[in-house]
Amino acid sequence: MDEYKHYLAQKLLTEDQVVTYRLLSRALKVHVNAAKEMLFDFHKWQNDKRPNSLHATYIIYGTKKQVDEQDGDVEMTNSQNSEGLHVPLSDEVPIQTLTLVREEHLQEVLTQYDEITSIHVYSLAPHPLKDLQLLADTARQVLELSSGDSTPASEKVFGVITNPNVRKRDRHGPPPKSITNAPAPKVEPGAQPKSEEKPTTTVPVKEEPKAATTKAPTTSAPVKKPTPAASGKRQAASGIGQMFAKAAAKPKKPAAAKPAEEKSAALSDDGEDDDAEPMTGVKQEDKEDSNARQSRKDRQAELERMMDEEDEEDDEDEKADSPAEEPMEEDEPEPEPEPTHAEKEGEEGEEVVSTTTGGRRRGRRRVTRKKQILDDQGYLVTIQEPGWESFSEDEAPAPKPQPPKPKAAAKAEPAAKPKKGAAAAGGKGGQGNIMSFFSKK
Amino acid sequence: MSTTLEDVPGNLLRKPSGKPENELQRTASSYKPLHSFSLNKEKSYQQQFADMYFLRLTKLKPAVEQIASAAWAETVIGGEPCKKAERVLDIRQGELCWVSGTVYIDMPLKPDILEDVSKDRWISAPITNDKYYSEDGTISISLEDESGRVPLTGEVLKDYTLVTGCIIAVLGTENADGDLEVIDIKLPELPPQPDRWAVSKQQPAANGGTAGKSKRKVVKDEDDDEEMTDSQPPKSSGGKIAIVSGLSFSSHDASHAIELSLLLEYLLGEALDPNAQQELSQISRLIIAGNSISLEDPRPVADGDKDSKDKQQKKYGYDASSYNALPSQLLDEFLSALLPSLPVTLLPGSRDPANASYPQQPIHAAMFPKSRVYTTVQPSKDGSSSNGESNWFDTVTNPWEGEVDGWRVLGTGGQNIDDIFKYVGSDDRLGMMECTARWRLSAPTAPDTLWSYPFQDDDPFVMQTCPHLYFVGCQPTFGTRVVTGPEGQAVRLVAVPSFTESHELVLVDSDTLDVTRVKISAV
Repeated sequence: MDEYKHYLAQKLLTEDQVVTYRLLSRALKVHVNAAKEMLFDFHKWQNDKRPNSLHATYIIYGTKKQVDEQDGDVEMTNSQNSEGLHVPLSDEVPIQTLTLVREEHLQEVLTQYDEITSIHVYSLAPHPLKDLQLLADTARQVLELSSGDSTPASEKVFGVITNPNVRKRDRHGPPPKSITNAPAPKVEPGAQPKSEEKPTTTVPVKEEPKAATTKAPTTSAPVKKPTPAASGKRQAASGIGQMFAKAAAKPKKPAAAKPAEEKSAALSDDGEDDDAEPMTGVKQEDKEDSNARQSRKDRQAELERMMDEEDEEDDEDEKADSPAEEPMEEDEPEPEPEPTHAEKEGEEGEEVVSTTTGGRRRGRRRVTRKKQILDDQGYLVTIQEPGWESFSEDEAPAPKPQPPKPKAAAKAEPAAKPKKGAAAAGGKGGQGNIMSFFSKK
Repeated sequence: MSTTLEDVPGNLLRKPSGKPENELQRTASSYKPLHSFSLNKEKSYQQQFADMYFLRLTKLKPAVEQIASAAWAETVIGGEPCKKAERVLDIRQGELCWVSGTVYIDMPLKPDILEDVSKDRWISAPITNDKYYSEDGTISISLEDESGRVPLTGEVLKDYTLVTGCIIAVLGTENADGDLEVIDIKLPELPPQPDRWAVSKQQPAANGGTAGKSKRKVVKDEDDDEEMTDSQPPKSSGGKIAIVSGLSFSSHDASHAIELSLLLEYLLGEALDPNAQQELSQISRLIIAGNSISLEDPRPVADGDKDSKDKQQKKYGYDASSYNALPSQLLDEFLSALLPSLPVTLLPGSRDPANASYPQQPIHAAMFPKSRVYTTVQPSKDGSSSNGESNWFDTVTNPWEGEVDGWRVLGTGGQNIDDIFKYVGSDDRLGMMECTARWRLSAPTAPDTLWSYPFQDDDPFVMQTCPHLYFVGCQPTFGTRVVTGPEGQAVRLVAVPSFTESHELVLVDSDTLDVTRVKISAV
C-alpha cells in the first residue's frame, strides 16, 4: 500500500524529479488509473504535512463554455477575410477539450469549463513547473521505460487500450539504434551457446540433450562464417601483428608465457578470443616447432572444409574428421583472419561435445578439436602434425587446454565488455565448456 | 456557475481505491486501402504534361456535357436557341452556344514557365508566391480544349471559384473582342458515389459503383446497413476515426512537445478516467494527414513545395551532415508507442520525407525502424494490386483513397487545397474542398502550379467515385460541412487543422460520419 509513497517520496523529495502518472505506473507496474489516484493521495498527504511542498498538474477533460472560443474564431476569419459572405463556413461540432493545467491555475480553468467529464492528477513535482513542456521530458522517460518491455501483457497492466487485431511482422528487424555490425553477431552467439549447452547444461534447455552431439557442430559451423565477416578487417590487421609477434616469440621459446601475453596484447582489438588463443597456444607452442605458414595453410584448409562441408561435417565429422583434415591442410593459403575465429569457435564447440558426451566416438572428435586448437596456435604461432597426433591419442590433454579458455573468456567479459560477436561467442563457448566439464559424468 | 469537482463523474482525485480496472479493447477497424495514387516504381519522367489535360478532358467532358445539355438544351435566350459547340474553335461570333473545356487562368503573380524563359530567368529555385490572386482583378480566364482557347468574360465568373485545370461547360456568346461572354457555368458535379462497404463486398461486381451509375442512394445508412446484413461485410462497430495532421515532430522546437505527449496518452487511453477511456477505446484508427515531421532550419528543401512557409528553405544542394534524424526518430517513437494499440494510416505532407510532386508516394518504411514491424504487406511492384490484407501501419500516398469502416474516404495532405487557395481571394477552405469535389478533381491545379508526376495513361486526380468522407490535412483552421450532389451524394468534408498550431484532433464517427473535435492544451 505504501510502496508508492515510498517511491514518490524518493523520487520527488529526495531525487527532486518530476513524476507523472505514467511514470509511476511504469515504475510500480500498476494501472495508470491507480497511479493517478496514488499521485493525488501522495500530494494531499505530503501537502498536509508540509503545505506547498509539492506541486501538481491536473488534466481536465470536458466541454468548455462555447463563448470565448467561438468569438475568437469568428474574429480571426473576419480579420483575414473581409468578405463575410460565407457565414456558415463550417458546421458547429462539439469540442472536447483536454487541458493540462498547473494547480495554481486549476480553479481558473475549471471555471472555463461547461462540463467536466474527467479530472485527474497528471504529475507531481517538488517545484512549480515553469514550463509545462518540461513534462515532455518525463514523457520521454516513459517511452524509454516502456520500449523495453512493451509486451501486450504489460500494457494491459498499465491500462493501455489493447487491440486484439494487431498485425505485426514476426521477424523483428535489427534493433534500430545499434551499430550495424552488432545485430548479426548477437544473433549468432544466441544460436551457438544453445547448441553448445545442449549436451552439457540441463538447466536452461532440458529438451535439447537428446539432440545429441551431432547438432553442436552444425550450429557451430554456420557461426563461423558470420563472425569473421563482422570483424574481418580487424583480424586481418591483427593477423599481421601476429606474424611479427610470432617471429619475435619464437627465439624465446622457453619463455613462452611472456611472449604469448605480448601477442595477446597485440591482438587485443580482436576481442577476448585473442586471450583465449594465446593461453592455449602457448602450452602447445612449447612442445612443438613449426612454421607459421603451414599452420596458416592448415587453418584455411580447415576453414574451407568447414564451409564446404558444413552439413556433411555435422553428420560425419565424428567419424571422418581427422583423416579428412590432414590432406586438406596442404591446400592453398587464404586470408588469415577467418580461420582463427572460426576454428576457435569450432574447437570449443567440438570440445564441448566431446567432453560432455564423453562417449565412444568422441575420441575421434577430440582429434578434430585438437586440430582446431592447433589451428588456433597456428594463428598465433605454429601448428605441427605431431601435436595433432598426441592430442588425438590422449584424451586428457584435450580437457586441459579447455579450462583455461573459459577462464580467459570469463575474465575478458567483465573486463572489456564484448563489443562484438567474437567476444560474445568466446564467452559463451567458455560457458559451454565449463558446463560440459561438469556434466560429463 | 463554476463546476464543483464533486460533480465530475470521472474524478480520480481520490484515494487509491484499489479496485481492479477494466481491460479495454479497442474497436476493430475495417480498412481497405485503395491504391489509386500509387506510381509505378520505375516511372519515367520523359513524357509531357499535356497528356494529363487531354485525359482529364476526355474523362470529364461527358459528365459535364451531360449536365450542361440537360440544363441548357431547351434554353432560348432572346429568341435564340442555344447550340452546343463541339470544340472551342467551333464557336461562332454572336451565336449563343455552350461549350466545355479546361479552364486556364493567368494571373500576374502566377508562375509562368514561358515568362521565365523569355525573360531569361534561370534561377535555380522556383519563386513560390503565397498567393497568385491579387485584388486588382487582372485575372484572365480562358477555356481551352484540344482545338484552341477562348478567353472568358462576364460577371458570372465572379460567382464561381475557378482554377486552372478544372473542366467546366460555359454558356455564352462570343463578343466583338473574341471573348466569350459567359452567361452560365456548369460543373461536372459530384461523381457517382458507391454504396457503403462497396469495396469490402466487391465480389458482386454490380456493386462496384465505380463506372456504373446504376444505383446511388446515399446517406441512407440504415438502408445500406440492412442490405449489408445479407452479404457478409462487417457491421460497423460504432468506432471513431481519428484524423490529425501537422504533428511536426521537431528536434529544436519543443513548444508543443507536451501536447504531442498528451495526444499519445489520449489515443492510448491512458489519460482520463475509466469512463472516458471506454470512449477512447472506440477510436479505431488514426489517420495522420501530412506534415508529421517539422522542417529543420538547416535542412535545405530543393523541392520548393508551394505552400512552404519558411523562407530559408529555398536553396539547392544537400549537406548530408546537416541531416537531423531526430524528428523522424521522435515520430517513429510516437508511432511505435501507438501501434500496439491503434492502427495508423500515414499520409505524407508537403514537409515530409517523400517526393515533392503530387501524388506523393508513401514515406518509406525505412524511416521507421521501430514502427515498421507493423507493416506486413510488401508493396507490390506497381503498388496497385495488393488486395486483401492491409498494413497495420500503413504509409500511403498523398492523395489517398480507401475504405474505412465501409466509407469511401479520400484524403490529402493539404497541398491540393493550399494551391487552390493561391488562386482565390477567399479563406474558405471548405468551399475549395467542395469545389474540388464538384469539379471531380482532387488536385485540379496539378500539373500547372501543383507539381505533379506527368501521367501518361490516366489522370488519377479525376475522382471516379465520390467519397463519403473527404479530409484535407494541414489546414489553418478546422472546418467541416456536408455537401450534397444532384444524385443524392453526400460528402462529409473535413478540413483538419495542423496540430502544431491548433492542438486539435478530429474524430469522425464511423456510423454517422459526425465529427467532433478534441482540443489539447497545456496552460
